[in-house]
Amino acid sequence: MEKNRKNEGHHKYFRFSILGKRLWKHKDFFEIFISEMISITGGLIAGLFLLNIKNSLEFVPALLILLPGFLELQGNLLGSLAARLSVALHLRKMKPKFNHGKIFISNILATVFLAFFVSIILGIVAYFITKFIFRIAVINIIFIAITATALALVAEIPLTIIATLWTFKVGLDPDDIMGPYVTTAADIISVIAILIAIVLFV
Amino acid sequence: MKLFYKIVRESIFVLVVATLVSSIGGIALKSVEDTLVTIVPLIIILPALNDMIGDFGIILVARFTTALYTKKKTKHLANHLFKDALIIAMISAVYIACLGTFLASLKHNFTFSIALLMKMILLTLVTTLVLFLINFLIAFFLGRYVYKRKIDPDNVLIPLTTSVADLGAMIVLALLAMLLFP
Repeated sequence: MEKNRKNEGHHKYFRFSILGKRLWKHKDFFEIFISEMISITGGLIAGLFLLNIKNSLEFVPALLILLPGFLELQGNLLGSLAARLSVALHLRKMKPKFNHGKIFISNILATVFLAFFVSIILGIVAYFITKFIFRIAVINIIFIAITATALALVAEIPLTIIATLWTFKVGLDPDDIMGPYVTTAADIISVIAILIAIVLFV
Repeated sequence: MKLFYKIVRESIFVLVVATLVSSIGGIALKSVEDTLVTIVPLIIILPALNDMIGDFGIILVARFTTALYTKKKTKHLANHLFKDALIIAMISAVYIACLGTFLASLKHNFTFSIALLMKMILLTLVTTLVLFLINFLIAFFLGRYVYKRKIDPDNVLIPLTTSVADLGAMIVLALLAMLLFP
């Protein structure tokens, strides 16, 4: 009875039974292992291409300051968003599908607000550091930060939410999967978003 | 809107600090990075290693936070998660060193040797071990402390562990690189 009750809830969506009970017994291990291996392989291969772009971006002093913080911010915001949604799903405060509930809306609004707020601060800091240390005033760096944030969020937020809901729905634990997924996705999307913002403003 | 204000209030300070530390610390550590990149495979390995350690920070914090909210025994989870995650982190470190060295040999011209590969594996293993332990302690002890103070650990500790991973990896790797590649 107790066992049946345990298998209900979020595990009722579990459809993977490749290795049957053995896989179930080591579920956490397999989830973390596979997501980490995919993330590392994707990250290393994408990193090879992004490295050239990142190196050329870092020749511009303002971008040298903006880029690492921007990538860090996106990873942190999306990692926290996925983790909060995962807690809500585990606590059955929301169902694993899109809705207009207050948990969804509050989480999305908070992520958007924090992304823009911190990006503006980052842009202003990058502007003043380049002005006083490198003696170059590039006001556009603030607009680049804001535009890149908007572009990145348009892609990243839906991707993070869809992936969190899907992993939970199929019986996987989003806590094990989403960390590696969001950091890799955020890095790739953020660099592309900054490139587009540069094209628009420079 | 209560939840919105709670998330913003708890996250805003730590996010600003983590972002600025990453940006400004990045400049300070640029000189260290310039030394590191003279060892060719490190150019490719360093970002992947940073990401990987950050990933484990997010996984550990998220798992402990969920356990705290669902009132599960965190000590039992810590025991089981420590073993599982540490084994995966070690395998990942070896994998990063091997794949990074292989990709570097394809893209850049440098003489590949077994000795170099062994040094790369040692570098990534030690760096991963040190930072994994720091992140585990943050997630477990600080997580419980933050939760007791009615703050959501997901909001505060995820930025903290990724910052530790970013700066810590660079510092530990630089120290080890100086020892192994004098």
